[in-house]
Amino acid sequence: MIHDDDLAPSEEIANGRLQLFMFSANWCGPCKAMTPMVEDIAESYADEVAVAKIDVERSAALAERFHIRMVPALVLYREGQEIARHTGSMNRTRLSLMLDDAIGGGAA
Amino acid sequence: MNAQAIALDTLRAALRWEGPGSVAVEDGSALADLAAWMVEQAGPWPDAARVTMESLIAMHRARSDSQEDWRRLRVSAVTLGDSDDLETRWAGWVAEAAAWPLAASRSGLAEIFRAVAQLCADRAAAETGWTVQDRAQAEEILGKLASGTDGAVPPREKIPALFAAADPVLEKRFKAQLDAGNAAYEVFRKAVIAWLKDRIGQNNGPAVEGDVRG
Repeated sequence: MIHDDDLAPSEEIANGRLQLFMFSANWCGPCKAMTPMVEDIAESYADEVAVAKIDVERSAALAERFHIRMVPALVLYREGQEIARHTGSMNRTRLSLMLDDAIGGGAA
Repeated sequence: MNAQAIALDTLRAALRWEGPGSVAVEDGSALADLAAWMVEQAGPWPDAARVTMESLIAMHRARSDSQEDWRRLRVSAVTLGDSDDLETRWAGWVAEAAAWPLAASRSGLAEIFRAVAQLCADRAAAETGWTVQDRAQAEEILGKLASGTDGAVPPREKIPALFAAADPVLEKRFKAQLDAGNAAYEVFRKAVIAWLKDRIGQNNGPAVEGDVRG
Protein backbone atom coordinates (compact mmCIF):
# COMPACT_ATOMS: atom_id res chain seq x y z
CA MET A 1 0.00 0.00 0.00
CA ILE A 2 1.32 3.44 -0.96
CA HIS A 3 0.30 5.94 1.69
CA ASP A 4 1.53 9.18 0.18
CA ASP A 5 2.56 10.64 -3.19
CA ASP A 6 6.03 9.13 -3.35
CA LEU A 7 6.56 6.24 -5.78
CA ALA A 8 10.24 5.80 -4.97
CA PRO A 9 9.78 3.12 -2.25
CA SER A 10 7.51 1.13 -4.57
CA GLU A 11 10.05 1.38 -7.39
CA GLU A 12 12.75 0.18 -5.04
CA ILE A 13 10.65 -2.83 -4.00
CA ALA A 14 9.82 -3.58 -7.64
CA ASN A 15 13.53 -3.86 -8.35
CA GLY A 16 13.12 -4.02 -12.12
CA ARG A 17 9.86 -5.98 -12.16
CA LEU A 18 6.70 -4.66 -13.79
CA GLN A 19 4.63 -2.49 -11.46
CA LEU A 20 0.86 -2.83 -11.21
CA PHE A 21 -0.84 0.07 -9.46
CA MET A 22 -4.39 -0.46 -8.24
CA PHE A 23 -6.03 2.91 -7.63
CA SER A 24 -8.93 2.61 -5.19
CA ALA A 25 -10.89 4.43 -2.51
CA ASN A 26 -12.23 3.22 0.81
CA TRP A 27 -15.79 4.14 -0.20
CA CYS A 28 -15.55 2.14 -3.45
CA GLY A 29 -17.41 -1.19 -3.28
CA PRO A 30 -16.00 -2.62 -6.53
CA CYS A 31 -12.48 -1.77 -5.28
CA LYS A 32 -13.07 -3.78 -2.11
CA ALA A 33 -14.52 -6.65 -4.13
CA MET A 34 -11.46 -6.71 -6.41
CA THR A 35 -8.83 -6.54 -3.66
CA PRO A 36 -8.65 -10.30 -2.83
CA MET A 37 -8.36 -11.09 -6.53
CA VAL A 38 -5.52 -8.59 -6.95
CA GLU A 39 -3.81 -10.13 -3.90
CA ASP A 40 -4.07 -13.55 -5.56
CA ILE A 41 -2.54 -12.11 -8.71
CA ALA A 42 0.24 -10.48 -6.69
CA GLU A 43 1.17 -13.89 -5.30
CA SER A 44 0.91 -15.71 -8.63
CA TYR A 45 3.05 -13.16 -10.44
CA ALA A 46 5.40 -12.24 -7.59
CA ASP A 47 8.49 -13.03 -9.67
CA GLU A 48 7.45 -10.73 -12.52
CA VAL A 49 5.16 -8.05 -11.09
CA ALA A 50 5.16 -5.82 -8.00
CA VAL A 51 1.65 -4.79 -7.01
CA ALA A 52 0.85 -1.63 -5.08
CA LYS A 53 -2.52 -0.33 -3.92
CA ILE A 54 -2.99 3.43 -3.99
CA ASP A 55 -5.83 5.25 -2.23
CA VAL A 56 -6.81 8.17 -4.46
CA GLU A 57 -7.69 10.34 -1.47
CA ARG A 58 -4.53 9.71 0.54
CA SER A 59 -2.37 9.99 -2.58
CA ALA A 60 -4.27 12.67 -4.47
CA ALA A 61 -1.21 13.99 -6.29
CA LEU A 62 -0.36 10.50 -7.58
CA ALA A 63 -3.94 10.03 -8.74
CA GLU A 64 -3.69 13.34 -10.57
CA ARG A 65 -0.30 12.44 -12.06
CA PHE A 66 -1.81 9.20 -13.43
CA HIS A 67 -4.97 11.01 -14.60
CA ILE A 68 -7.23 8.77 -12.53
CA ARG A 69 -10.84 9.88 -12.95
CA MET A 70 -12.65 6.72 -11.82
CA VAL A 71 -11.89 3.84 -9.48
CA PRO A 72 -11.02 1.06 -9.49
CA ALA A 73 -8.29 1.70 -12.04
CA LEU A 74 -5.36 -0.59 -12.82
CA VAL A 75 -2.21 0.84 -14.34
CA LEU A 76 0.67 -1.32 -15.50
CA TYR A 77 4.02 0.40 -15.45
CA ARG A 78 7.48 -0.55 -16.68
CA GLU A 79 10.61 1.53 -16.26
CA GLY A 80 8.67 4.73 -15.76
CA GLN A 81 6.34 4.15 -18.71
CA GLU A 82 2.67 3.22 -18.62
CA ILE A 83 2.13 0.16 -20.82
CA ALA A 84 -1.50 -0.78 -20.06
CA ARG A 85 -4.50 0.54 -18.19
CA HIS A 86 -7.98 -0.67 -17.26
CA THR A 87 -10.69 1.34 -15.56
CA GLY A 88 -13.54 -0.42 -13.76
CA SER A 89 -13.94 -3.93 -12.41
CA MET A 90 -11.90 -6.71 -13.93
CA ASN A 91 -11.79 -10.43 -13.27
CA ARG A 92 -8.70 -12.49 -12.54
CA THR A 93 -8.55 -14.10 -15.96
CA ARG A 94 -8.62 -10.77 -17.82
CA LEU A 95 -6.02 -9.26 -15.48
CA SER A 96 -3.75 -12.27 -15.92
CA LEU A 97 -4.05 -11.89 -19.70
CA MET A 98 -3.08 -8.22 -19.41
CA LEU A 99 -0.03 -9.21 -17.37
CA ASP A 100 0.87 -12.11 -19.69
CA ASP A 101 0.78 -9.72 -22.64
CA ALA A 102 3.11 -7.36 -20.83
CA ILE A 103 5.45 -10.08 -19.65
CA GLY A 104 5.42 -11.73 -23.05
CA GLY A 105 4.66 -15.25 -21.91
CA GLY A 106 2.44 -17.43 -19.75
CA ALA A 107 2.32 -17.09 -16.01
CA ALA A 108 0.28 -18.24 -13.01
CA MET B 1 -6.01 -19.58 9.16
CA ASN B 2 -5.59 -21.84 6.10
CA ALA B 3 -6.17 -20.83 2.47
CA GLN B 4 -9.60 -22.45 2.31
CA ALA B 5 -10.75 -20.60 5.42
CA ILE B 6 -9.57 -17.29 3.92
CA ALA B 7 -11.40 -18.11 0.67
CA LEU B 8 -14.53 -18.86 2.65
CA ASP B 9 -14.24 -15.58 4.57
CA THR B 10 -13.88 -13.71 1.27
CA LEU B 11 -16.97 -15.46 -0.06
CA ARG B 12 -18.94 -14.63 3.08
CA ALA B 13 -18.04 -10.96 2.65
CA ALA B 14 -19.31 -11.12 -0.94
CA LEU B 15 -22.48 -12.80 0.33
CA ARG B 16 -22.90 -10.11 3.01
CA TRP B 17 -23.30 -12.98 5.45
CA GLU B 18 -21.49 -12.57 8.74
CA GLY B 19 -22.22 -16.01 10.15
CA PRO B 20 -20.46 -17.22 13.27
CA GLY B 21 -16.96 -15.92 12.44
CA SER B 22 -13.96 -17.59 10.84
CA VAL B 23 -13.97 -21.35 10.71
CA ALA B 24 -11.23 -23.81 9.93
CA VAL B 25 -11.77 -25.74 6.73
CA GLU B 26 -9.68 -28.88 6.98
CA ASP B 27 -10.90 -30.49 3.79
CA GLY B 28 -11.01 -28.45 0.59
CA SER B 29 -13.36 -30.89 -1.11
CA ALA B 30 -16.46 -29.11 0.23
CA LEU B 31 -15.29 -25.82 -1.26
CA ALA B 32 -14.42 -27.49 -4.57
CA ASP B 33 -17.93 -28.96 -4.57
CA LEU B 34 -19.33 -25.50 -3.86
CA ALA B 35 -17.41 -24.05 -6.82
CA ALA B 36 -18.73 -26.79 -9.10
CA TRP B 37 -22.27 -26.42 -7.74
CA MET B 38 -22.26 -22.64 -8.28
CA VAL B 39 -21.13 -23.06 -11.88
CA GLU B 40 -23.85 -25.67 -12.43
CA GLN B 41 -26.51 -23.23 -11.20
CA ALA B 42 -25.67 -20.93 -14.11
CA GLY B 43 -26.79 -23.56 -16.66
CA PRO B 44 -28.26 -24.53 -19.05
CA TRP B 45 -25.46 -23.62 -21.41
CA PRO B 46 -25.60 -22.67 -25.06
CA ASP B 47 -24.02 -25.36 -27.24
CA ALA B 48 -20.93 -23.26 -27.86
CA ALA B 49 -20.16 -23.15 -24.11
CA ARG B 50 -21.12 -26.68 -23.04
CA VAL B 51 -17.73 -28.41 -23.31
CA THR B 52 -15.89 -25.63 -21.49
CA MET B 53 -18.44 -25.40 -18.68
CA GLU B 54 -18.60 -29.16 -18.16
CA SER B 55 -14.80 -29.31 -18.13
CA LEU B 56 -14.68 -26.57 -15.49
CA ILE B 57 -17.14 -28.40 -13.27
CA ALA B 58 -15.19 -31.65 -13.62
CA MET B 59 -11.87 -29.91 -12.90
CA HIS B 60 -13.22 -28.36 -9.70
CA ARG B 61 -14.80 -31.62 -8.57
CA ALA B 62 -11.48 -33.42 -9.18
CA ARG B 63 -9.57 -30.58 -7.45
CA SER B 64 -7.24 -30.58 -10.42
CA ASP B 65 -3.90 -28.86 -10.00
CA SER B 66 -2.90 -29.10 -13.65
CA GLN B 67 -1.79 -25.55 -14.47
CA GLU B 68 -1.76 -26.41 -18.15
CA ASP B 69 -5.39 -27.58 -18.12
CA TRP B 70 -6.54 -24.54 -16.16
CA ARG B 71 -4.70 -22.22 -18.54
CA ARG B 72 -6.30 -23.98 -21.53
CA LEU B 73 -9.72 -23.47 -19.96
CA ARG B 74 -9.00 -19.78 -19.39
CA VAL B 75 -8.23 -19.38 -23.08
CA SER B 76 -11.55 -21.08 -23.94
CA ALA B 77 -13.35 -18.95 -21.36
CA VAL B 78 -12.07 -15.70 -22.85
CA THR B 79 -13.09 -16.83 -26.33
CA LEU B 80 -16.62 -17.43 -25.01
CA GLY B 81 -16.57 -14.16 -23.07
CA ASP B 82 -15.82 -12.26 -26.28
CA SER B 83 -18.63 -13.97 -28.24
CA ASP B 84 -21.19 -11.93 -30.15
CA ASP B 85 -23.94 -14.22 -28.82
CA LEU B 86 -25.27 -12.91 -25.50
CA GLU B 87 -25.89 -16.27 -23.78
CA THR B 88 -22.47 -17.52 -24.85
CA ARG B 89 -20.87 -14.32 -23.60
CA TRP B 90 -22.59 -14.67 -20.21
CA ALA B 91 -21.38 -18.27 -19.92
CA GLY B 92 -17.89 -17.08 -20.81
CA TRP B 93 -17.86 -14.53 -18.00
CA VAL B 94 -18.75 -17.28 -15.52
CA ALA B 95 -16.07 -19.49 -17.05
CA GLU B 96 -13.47 -16.72 -16.74
CA ALA B 97 -14.25 -16.43 -13.03
CA ALA B 98 -14.21 -20.20 -12.49
CA ALA B 99 -11.13 -21.15 -14.51
CA TRP B 100 -8.70 -21.15 -11.59
CA PRO B 101 -7.87 -23.83 -9.03
CA LEU B 102 -9.19 -22.98 -5.57
CA ALA B 103 -6.06 -24.08 -3.75
CA ALA B 104 -4.23 -21.10 -2.24
CA SER B 105 -6.77 -18.68 -3.74
CA ARG B 106 -8.42 -16.01 -1.60
CA SER B 107 -10.78 -14.80 -4.28
CA GLY B 108 -11.84 -17.90 -6.23
CA LEU B 109 -15.15 -18.68 -4.56
CA ALA B 110 -16.19 -15.04 -4.30
CA GLU B 111 -15.38 -14.44 -7.97
CA ILE B 112 -17.48 -17.43 -9.04
CA PHE B 113 -20.34 -16.33 -6.80
CA ARG B 114 -20.36 -12.80 -8.26
CA ALA B 115 -20.19 -14.04 -11.84
CA VAL B 116 -23.04 -16.53 -11.45
CA ALA B 117 -25.18 -14.09 -9.46
CA GLN B 118 -24.64 -11.49 -12.19
CA LEU B 119 -25.59 -14.03 -14.86
CA CYS B 120 -28.80 -14.82 -12.92
CA ALA B 121 -29.54 -11.10 -12.73
CA ASP B 122 -28.80 -10.52 -16.41
CA ARG B 123 -31.01 -13.44 -17.46
CA ALA B 124 -33.88 -12.23 -15.27
CA ALA B 125 -33.53 -8.72 -16.69
CA ALA B 126 -33.56 -10.07 -20.24
CA GLU B 127 -36.72 -12.07 -19.49
CA THR B 128 -38.55 -8.77 -18.91
CA GLY B 129 -37.76 -7.86 -22.53
CA TRP B 130 -34.78 -5.66 -21.65
CA THR B 131 -32.18 -5.63 -24.41
CA VAL B 132 -28.59 -4.51 -24.89
CA GLN B 133 -29.95 -1.62 -26.97
CA ASP B 134 -32.34 -0.62 -24.16
CA ARG B 135 -29.44 -0.62 -21.73
CA ALA B 136 -27.32 1.56 -24.00
CA GLN B 137 -30.21 4.00 -24.41
CA ALA B 138 -30.83 4.13 -20.65
CA GLU B 139 -27.14 4.65 -19.90
CA GLU B 140 -27.01 7.51 -22.37
CA ILE B 141 -29.99 9.24 -20.77
CA LEU B 142 -28.75 8.61 -17.22
CA GLY B 143 -25.28 9.84 -18.14
CA LYS B 144 -26.67 13.09 -19.48
CA LEU B 145 -28.91 13.54 -16.44
CA ALA B 146 -26.04 12.86 -14.03
CA SER B 147 -23.86 15.41 -15.83
CA GLY B 148 -26.54 18.08 -15.37
CA THR B 149 -27.27 21.07 -17.50
CA ASP B 150 -25.71 24.53 -17.50
CA GLY B 151 -23.17 23.41 -14.91
CA ALA B 152 -25.85 22.37 -12.38
CA VAL B 153 -25.58 18.73 -11.36
CA PRO B 154 -28.81 17.31 -9.89
CA PRO B 155 -28.75 15.49 -6.54
CA ARG B 156 -28.43 11.73 -7.02
CA GLU B 157 -31.85 11.06 -5.43
CA LYS B 158 -33.58 13.21 -8.06
CA ILE B 159 -32.22 11.28 -11.04
CA PRO B 160 -34.96 8.57 -11.11
CA ALA B 161 -37.66 11.23 -11.32
CA LEU B 162 -35.73 13.11 -14.01
CA PHE B 163 -35.34 9.82 -15.93
CA ALA B 164 -39.11 9.20 -15.66
CA ALA B 165 -39.78 12.69 -17.00
CA ALA B 166 -37.29 12.31 -19.86
CA ASP B 167 -38.56 8.90 -21.07
CA PRO B 168 -41.41 7.48 -18.96
CA VAL B 169 -41.78 4.25 -20.96
CA LEU B 170 -38.08 3.38 -20.87
CA GLU B 171 -37.83 4.32 -17.18
CA LYS B 172 -40.67 1.96 -16.30
CA ARG B 173 -39.03 -0.89 -18.20
CA PHE B 174 -35.65 0.03 -16.66
CA LYS B 175 -37.10 -0.29 -13.17
CA ALA B 176 -38.83 -3.58 -14.03
CA GLN B 177 -35.61 -5.18 -15.30
CA LEU B 178 -33.65 -3.79 -12.34
CA ASP B 179 -36.14 -5.25 -9.86
CA ALA B 180 -36.11 -8.60 -11.67
CA GLY B 181 -32.31 -8.65 -11.77
CA ASN B 182 -31.96 -7.73 -8.11
CA ALA B 183 -34.49 -10.41 -7.12
CA ALA B 184 -32.63 -13.09 -9.09
CA TYR B 185 -29.29 -12.03 -7.58
CA GLU B 186 -30.83 -12.28 -4.12
CA VAL B 187 -32.28 -15.74 -4.78
CA PHE B 188 -28.85 -17.02 -5.78
CA ARG B 189 -27.17 -15.32 -2.80
CA LYS B 190 -29.58 -17.06 -0.43
CA ALA B 191 -29.09 -20.37 -2.22
CA VAL B 192 -25.33 -20.18 -1.66
CA ILE B 193 -25.82 -19.36 2.03
CA ALA B 194 -28.19 -22.31 2.33
CA TRP B 195 -25.60 -24.55 0.66
CA LEU B 196 -22.94 -23.39 3.10
CA LYS B 197 -25.17 -23.97 6.10
CA ASP B 198 -26.04 -27.41 4.86
CA ARG B 199 -22.57 -28.58 3.87
CA ILE B 200 -20.18 -26.73 6.12
CA GLY B 201 -22.44 -26.68 9.14
CA GLN B 202 -22.40 -22.98 9.87
CA ASN B 203 -25.83 -22.96 11.43
CA ASN B 204 -25.41 -19.86 13.57
CA GLY B 205 -25.67 -17.33 10.75
CA PRO B 206 -28.67 -15.13 9.94
CA ALA B 207 -31.82 -16.92 8.91
CA VAL B 208 -32.21 -17.58 5.19
CA GLU B 209 -35.63 -16.50 4.03
CA GLY B 210 -37.50 -17.10 0.81
CA ASP B 211 -37.21 -19.70 -1.91
CA VAL B 212 -33.84 -20.89 -3.10
CA ARG B 213 -32.72 -22.50 -6.33
CA GLY B 214 -30.95 -25.75 -6.68
